Amino acid sequence: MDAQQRFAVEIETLAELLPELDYYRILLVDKNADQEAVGEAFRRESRRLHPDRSATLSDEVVKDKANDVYRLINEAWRVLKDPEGRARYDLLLADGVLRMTDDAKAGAASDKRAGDPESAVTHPKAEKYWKMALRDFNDGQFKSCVMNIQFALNFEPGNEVMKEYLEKATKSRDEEESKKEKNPYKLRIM
Amino acid sequence: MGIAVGIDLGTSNSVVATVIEGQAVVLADAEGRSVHPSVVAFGYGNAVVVGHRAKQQLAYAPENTVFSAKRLIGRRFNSDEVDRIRRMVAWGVAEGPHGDARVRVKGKVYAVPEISAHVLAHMKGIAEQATGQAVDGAVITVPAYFNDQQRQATRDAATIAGLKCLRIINEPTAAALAYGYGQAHKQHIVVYDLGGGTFDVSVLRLDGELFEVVSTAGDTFLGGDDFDGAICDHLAEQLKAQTGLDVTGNHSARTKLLEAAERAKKALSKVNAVAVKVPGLGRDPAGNPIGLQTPLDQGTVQRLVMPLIQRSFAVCDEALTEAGLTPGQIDHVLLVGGMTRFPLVREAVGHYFQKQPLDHLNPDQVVAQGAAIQAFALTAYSDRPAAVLLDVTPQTLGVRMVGGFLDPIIPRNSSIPTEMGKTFTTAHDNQGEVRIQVYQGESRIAAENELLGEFILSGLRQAPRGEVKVKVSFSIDADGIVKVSAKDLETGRSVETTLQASSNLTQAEVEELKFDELGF
Repeated sequence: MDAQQRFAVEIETLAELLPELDYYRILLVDKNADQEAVGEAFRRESRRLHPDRSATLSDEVVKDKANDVYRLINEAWRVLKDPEGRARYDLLLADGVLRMTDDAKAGAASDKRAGDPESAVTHPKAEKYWKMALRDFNDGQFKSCVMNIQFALNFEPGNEVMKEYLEKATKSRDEEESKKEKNPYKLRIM
Repeated sequence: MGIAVGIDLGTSNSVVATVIEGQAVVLADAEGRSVHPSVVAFGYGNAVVVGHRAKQQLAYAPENTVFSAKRLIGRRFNSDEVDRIRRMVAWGVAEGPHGDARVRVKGKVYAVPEISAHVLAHMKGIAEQATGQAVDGAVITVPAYFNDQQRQATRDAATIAGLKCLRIINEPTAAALAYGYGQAHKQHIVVYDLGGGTFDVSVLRLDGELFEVVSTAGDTFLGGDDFDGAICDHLAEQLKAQTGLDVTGNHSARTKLLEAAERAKKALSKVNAVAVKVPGLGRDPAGNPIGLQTPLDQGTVQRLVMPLIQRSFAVCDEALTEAGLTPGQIDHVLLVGGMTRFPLVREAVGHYFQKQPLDHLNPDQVVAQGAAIQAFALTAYSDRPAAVLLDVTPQTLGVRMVGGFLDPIIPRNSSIPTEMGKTFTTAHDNQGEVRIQVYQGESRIAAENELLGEFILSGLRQAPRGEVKVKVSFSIDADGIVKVSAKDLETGRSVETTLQASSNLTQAEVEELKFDELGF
C-alpha cells in the first residue's frame, strides 16, 4: 500500500469516528495539555490531514470526507485556541457535549444577555441612544437617561429591558427632582 | 501528462510560473518578457488581442481596449467602486442581467469573467509555449480581501478559459509561500501589500512546510491612487496660490495635475527633488494661458503622504492585535505591490516593524511563484508535501436579523475550510418559506456589508410558528467560496435552497461562454 492509499484509509476510518470525537481526541492531545501543546497538536494534525493532501486522489467521496475531517480539526482549534472558549468548552464536555455547536453557544450567549443590558438592543438606530442611556444611568444622570431611553424606544417600542430601565430611571429622576425642591440652602428669587 | 502553473492575475499585469526541478520559475514569452499587461483589446471583426500587443492599442483605440477589469470582477453595477471605474475608463460599463457590472465594447456586452478569461488563456498559451507541455491546471491568486462573489467570478473566468482552477489563493499568502518555501526554521512574518487601489496585510506563522495565516486585515480604499490624489491636491493649492486659478470641478485640468502628480511620485523614488511643469491648465481674464511650475521635494511629499502611510499602520495594528503579536515579535517583513517600491513607504514600514523589510525577492514575480508552488503541492502527492497552506477567511460571514443587524456566523480570520451551523425557525403559523439574506463584511449593520445572496428555504411543513426548525449549514471551502445547505431538523429532510440576488453568472451561462478548442 503506498502513502496515498494509506492517507485515504486513514481518512475513511476517521470519518466514521467523527460523531464520537471531542476536540481533544480529534487533535490527539491531552485534555490537560497547555495552550502551546494544543497549538502544536493542531499543526501536527494539519500537516497530516489537510484536505489538500487528498487533491491528487481520484475518489471524490474520500475527498469530501477529508474535508469533513479537517473542518472538525479547524473547529476544535477555533474553540481551543482561545483560553476563554476552551474553559467554556471544558464545562460543556464535562456534561457530555462534544462540540461547541451553534445551539450550545446560543445558550451561553443568552446567559450573557441576561446579565448584560447592553446587548438588549436589536435595532441599529436605537443602539446609539441605548448606549448613552446606560452610561447616563450609571453616572446618575437620570433626566438625560430617560430622554435617551425614549429615543431608543421609538425604534423598538416593544423592548422589555428598555421599558424596565425607563421605569427605574423615571423613578430616580422624580426622586431627585423632589429632593431639589426640599433643598434648604436653595435661594429662591421671589 | 501536462503541467500545473501558478497565475498572478493582476489588475495591471499578469505573470505565470511553474515549478521545475523544485524551483518556482517564472515563464517568459518568445520575446523574453515575463510580465504581461492584463489588457484585452478588441480589433476588427472578432479579433481579440491580449497583453503587450493589446496595450499598444490603448493609445489610439482606448474605447476598444479593456484594462483593469479586475476592479470590476464580481461587483454590482450599482456600487461606488463601479462608479469610480466608469469615470476612469474609455470603454463602456453596462448592467448585466444579474445586476452585475459588465463591459461594453463595440456595441457588444461582455461579462467581466469573459474578459479575465482572455487574460488567463493568454497566460496559459505563454506557459505552453515556454515549456512545450500542455497546461492541465492552475492556481490563481486574488487579493486577500476578495469576497465570495469576486472569488467565484475568478473561478468562472478560469472555466471559461478552459483552465482547470486547482485553487484560488490569496496574494499575500502566495508571496509568503515563495519566500518561505524550502526554509526549515519557525518564524513569524508579515506581508505588507500596498497596490494601486488597495492595502492588505497578513501575519503568517511559518514552520517548515506549514504556512499558517494567523490574521489578515485590509483597507480596500487605500493605495497608490490615494497617494497620487494627495500630491494632486497639493499641486492644485500651489496653482491657486500662484495664479488664482481654482481647478475644483474642472475635470480636464485636474486630470492633467493628477498625471503630473503620478509622474512626480515615480521620479521622487529615484531623486530628491523634481520640477513640476504642467502647461495649458486654463486662461487668465486677458486670455493668456495659465500653467503650473513648482518644485517638489521628497520632504513635501513625505508630509503629504504620511497620513496615508499611518492609515496602513492602523490596519497593521489591527492584524497584529488579532494575532496577539507586537511589531517587534515579527521576524521578517515582506513587501508586495507597486507602491512598496516608494522609498518613503519602505522606510516607514522599516520603522514601524523595527527592522528592514526583505528586498531580495522580485515584487513583480513573487506572487506567481508562490501560486506555482501551491499548484505543485496540489498535483504531486508526497509523504512530505512541498507546502501545506492554512488560510483564513478575510471577512465575517453573517445573516441579516430582524431589526437590520448582522448576526455573524463565521467570524473573519477563521481558518478555512470551515463549516458553521445555525438553526432558523418560522415566525408565522403555516409559514411555507424562510428568507435568509447572507452578507460578508465587518459592519454590525447588515446593509452596510456586501450582500452575497438571498436564500429561500421553501416547501416547509405546515405547522404552528416556531415549530419548524431548519438547520442551515454555512461552509467556506479552501478557495474562500461560500456554500449553503439546509435541513429540516424534525424530519431530517434536506430543504431546497435557491440562491437569488447573486450577481454571479449561472453554471449554464459559464458553460455557454466557454472558449472552444481553438481558443476563442
